[in-house]
Amino acid sequence: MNQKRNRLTVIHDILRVIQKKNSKIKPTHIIYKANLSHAMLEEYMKEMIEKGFVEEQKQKKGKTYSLTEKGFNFLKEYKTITAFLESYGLGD
Amino acid sequence: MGYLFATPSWFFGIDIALELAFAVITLAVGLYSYKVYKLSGKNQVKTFSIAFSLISVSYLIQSITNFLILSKLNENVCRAFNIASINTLNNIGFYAYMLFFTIGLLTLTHTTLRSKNERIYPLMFAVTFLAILFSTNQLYIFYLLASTLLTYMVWHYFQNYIKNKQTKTLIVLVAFVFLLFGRLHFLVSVNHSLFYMIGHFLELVAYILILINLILVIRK
Repeated sequence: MNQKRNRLTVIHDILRVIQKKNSKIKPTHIIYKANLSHAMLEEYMKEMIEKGFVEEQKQKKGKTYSLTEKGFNFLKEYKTITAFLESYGLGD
Repeated sequence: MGYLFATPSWFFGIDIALELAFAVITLAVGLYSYKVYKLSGKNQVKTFSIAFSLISVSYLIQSITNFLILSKLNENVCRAFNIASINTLNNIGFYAYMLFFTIGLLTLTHTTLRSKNERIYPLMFAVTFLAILFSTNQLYIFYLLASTLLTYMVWHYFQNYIKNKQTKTLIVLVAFVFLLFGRLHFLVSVNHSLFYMIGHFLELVAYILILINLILVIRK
């Protein structure tokens, strides 16, 4: 990837990875598939849980993440959101 | 100070309909951006939504004021609120319009600054309103400040278009150029009744473009 991804694109990429894994995925998979560092994942996951896009499930062997309804809606509306933000220069 | 413009008789009613249309279009942008905020969680979009909603309220007030002035209802309204004359009612309406429009425009400008410094907004607010409040010609200062803020907005949308050359960024840029001309025209105009009419038509073009952009975005 040549260009630096903006915050919204990273969130979209993470949610897509979770969606592709049938909405249940371990953090290490997200790091690998969404091309993130561990610190970045922690930061983004905290934000996405706060925004209600993702839910965290504590397991015996670590934790997994799944999409919420709001997360699914975000993915569905992503193109429209970015088109609106771009038109008014409201991106990162 | 009387703000009653000498409107051409054929334009009576058309201005009210246009102001109502501006209120509806800006409200649609405000509501849609609020939806985008709920999905994206970006505070900048929330502020943008508030800005457009405030501008919508300003047009609604302008439309209602003009409607009351034209209709027989104005006598009842003046009596109910103990307002001395129709001119006072017009002034109250215009001050309310000026207040909401200015706050809306200030908020919109602040959105584009992307500043995390919380002191900038109150500073902009204070400077703008002190300038209007202590001016001997409040109407002129209002249009001057609105033109200044819109010039900055046009520059912002021009940069956005250069960065992202797409139809929708061009539409927004041209819309704000028309909004700027609509305000700027007053500063150089000698015939204010003609300004009132031309200003409304320039704004109509601007808001039609904003509506087209919204439709293009939603249909994507």
